Amino acid sequence: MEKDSELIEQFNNGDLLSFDKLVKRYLDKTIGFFFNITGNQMTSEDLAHEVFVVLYKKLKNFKFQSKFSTYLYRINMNKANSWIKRNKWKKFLHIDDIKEPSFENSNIEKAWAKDELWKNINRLPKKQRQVVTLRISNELSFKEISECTGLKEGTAKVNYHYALKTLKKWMNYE
Amino acid sequence: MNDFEEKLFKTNYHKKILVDKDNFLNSLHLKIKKTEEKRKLNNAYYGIIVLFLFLFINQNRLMDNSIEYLYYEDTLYELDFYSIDSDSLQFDDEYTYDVYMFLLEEGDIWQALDLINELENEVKT
Repeated sequence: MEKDSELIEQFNNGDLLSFDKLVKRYLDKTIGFFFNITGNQMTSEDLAHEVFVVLYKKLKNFKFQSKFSTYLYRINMNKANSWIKRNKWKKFLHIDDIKEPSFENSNIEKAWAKDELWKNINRLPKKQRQVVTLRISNELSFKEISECTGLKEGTAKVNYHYALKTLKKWMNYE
Repeated sequence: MNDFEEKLFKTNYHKKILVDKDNFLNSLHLKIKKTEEKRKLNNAYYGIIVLFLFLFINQNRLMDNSIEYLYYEDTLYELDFYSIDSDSLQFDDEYTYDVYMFLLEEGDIWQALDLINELENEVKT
C-alpha cells in the first residue's frame, strides 16, 4: 500500500487518482468525526466535502513537516469549530427549538444517549472540546493531539481531564 | 482508562457509518470543478474592475495633459485667435514666413495650415 506522502507527491505531479485514493483512505474517519459533532449524516458529508475541497487546493503547499493525518485532522477541527460557531447563532435565532440537556435527568441510560453526550461535548470550552473530540473521535494519542492543536502535551492532558470532569457532572455520572 | 472514558469511546459513531465512496467522490469532483469555475469567474471580474479603474484614472490624466499641451503650444507660438487677431496688422510677410517655416520644420503641418487660413481670413475681412 502506498504511503500518504507518496500519494501526495503523485497528486502534485498531476495524478488526480492519487487524490481519490487519499480521500477514500480518510473518508470514513472524516465523516465519522463530523457525525459525532453534528449528529447528522448529510451535514457530515457536506462538511467532509468542504474539507476535501480545501485539501485539493492546499495540498500543493503541503510541506511534509507533519504527518498528513495530523494536517487533515487540523483542517477537520477548524471546520468543526466554525460549524459549531455557526450553529450557535442558528440556535440563538431559533431559540424555541433548543432542547436543554437533561442535567437533572435521573435516568442515567437516557442521559447517556449519544446525541446528548456529543451535544454536551460541543458545549465545552474550545480547547477542552478539541482535545476530547480528537481523543474520542479520532482515537489520537496526546502527542498527536498536541501536534494537531498546537497545545503542549501536558496542557492537552489537563484539558482532557477537566473536560471529562465537566462531562461527568453534566451527565450526572457518579 | 476508567469506566467513564470507556463509555465515551463506545459512543464513537464512525465505525458504523456507511458511505458510498464512489458517489461521494463524484459529487466531490463536481464541487471542486464548480469552485474552480467560480474562482476563475471572480478573477475575471476583479481583472475587469482593475482594468476599468486603470483606464478611468489614466483617461483623466491624458485629458488633463492634452489640454495643457494645446494651451501651452498656442500661447508659446502666439497662434491662438486673440494673439493673432491683436497683432496681425503688425506682422510683416517675412515674420509670417518665418513662423510658417518654423511650424513646418517642427512637423506641425495642421498648425501651419491653420495659420495660413487665419491670415487669409483676416486679409479678406
